[in-house]
Amino acid sequence: MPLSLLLVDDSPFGRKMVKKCLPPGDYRIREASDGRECLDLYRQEAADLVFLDLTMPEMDGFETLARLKEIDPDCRVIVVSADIQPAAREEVMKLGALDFIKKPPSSETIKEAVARVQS
Amino acid sequence: MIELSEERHEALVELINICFGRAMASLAELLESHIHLSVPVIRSVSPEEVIKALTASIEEKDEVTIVQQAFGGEFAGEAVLALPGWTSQSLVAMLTEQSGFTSDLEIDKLNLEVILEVGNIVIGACLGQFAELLESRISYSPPAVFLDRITSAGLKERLTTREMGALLVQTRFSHKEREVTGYLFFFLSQFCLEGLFKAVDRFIEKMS
Repeated sequence: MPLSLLLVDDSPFGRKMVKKCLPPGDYRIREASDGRECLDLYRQEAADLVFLDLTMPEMDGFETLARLKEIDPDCRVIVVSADIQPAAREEVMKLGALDFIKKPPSSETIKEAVARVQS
Repeated sequence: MIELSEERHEALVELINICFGRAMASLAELLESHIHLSVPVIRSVSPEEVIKALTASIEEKDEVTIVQQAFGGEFAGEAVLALPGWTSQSLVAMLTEQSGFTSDLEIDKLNLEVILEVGNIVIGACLGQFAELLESRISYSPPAVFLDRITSAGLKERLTTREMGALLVQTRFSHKEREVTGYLFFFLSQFCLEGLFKAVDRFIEKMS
């Protein structure tokens, strides 16, 4: 079974960076450019792992994460963000994120994130 | 007007997002508080639009404090941190409360120092990260602060980029509990864009 990933970032380049860092493997990748699209896609079909940006127009990553957890408390979310303030990190961890990766992501951090879900 | 391809535009927005995130983390550390970030906007503007774009973003158009800093290197331009009047007062209040400063006698000097420090941190962190990601080197001129509540016309006088078309990069930040809203602009003149685009293309190749 391919690993189902949901990449959420208003920046297409941001999503591209995460895809580039993925280790070789079998993936089913869906992409959302904002929080609402992410929630719609997740409702249609849950993902094994969600890579979520924080700074997005309309619905930001904090609200998206909170709502994802309402839909599915077991939802696995890794935040990939340029907002590297300690308070942002603390808040997403409190909201139930698995981890926080600062932008630009590296192959190592994305590989670790994927390995964590696969194990 | 400057032509910006979709790929370069996407990469530049992401680059600025990362750089601004670094700058706001530095400011948040200084303020011991969390700063809310907004999505950066990048667009090409004509010389006339440079000032218009700047003043249109500031709600109280006649009252603004600016920190202006020129930079050079592979690409050159000017960074402007624009703070509506109430924001500069809030920032000074927040920072002086932390340091326990009480004397009114040196308040003008203190305001100047606080805003200069804020400008230095925000602009320096942002440009420093920008240069690092693009594997380039940026040199800075000393920042200048204009504390007086200057008008739009006064603002025009202050900005040296007014004769050039520019790539305008605009980001907004705000603070939940205090009235803090600021704008950061980078004006990159047309003649130095070739250098910037070369550096951005290298970044695209590396990251995608």
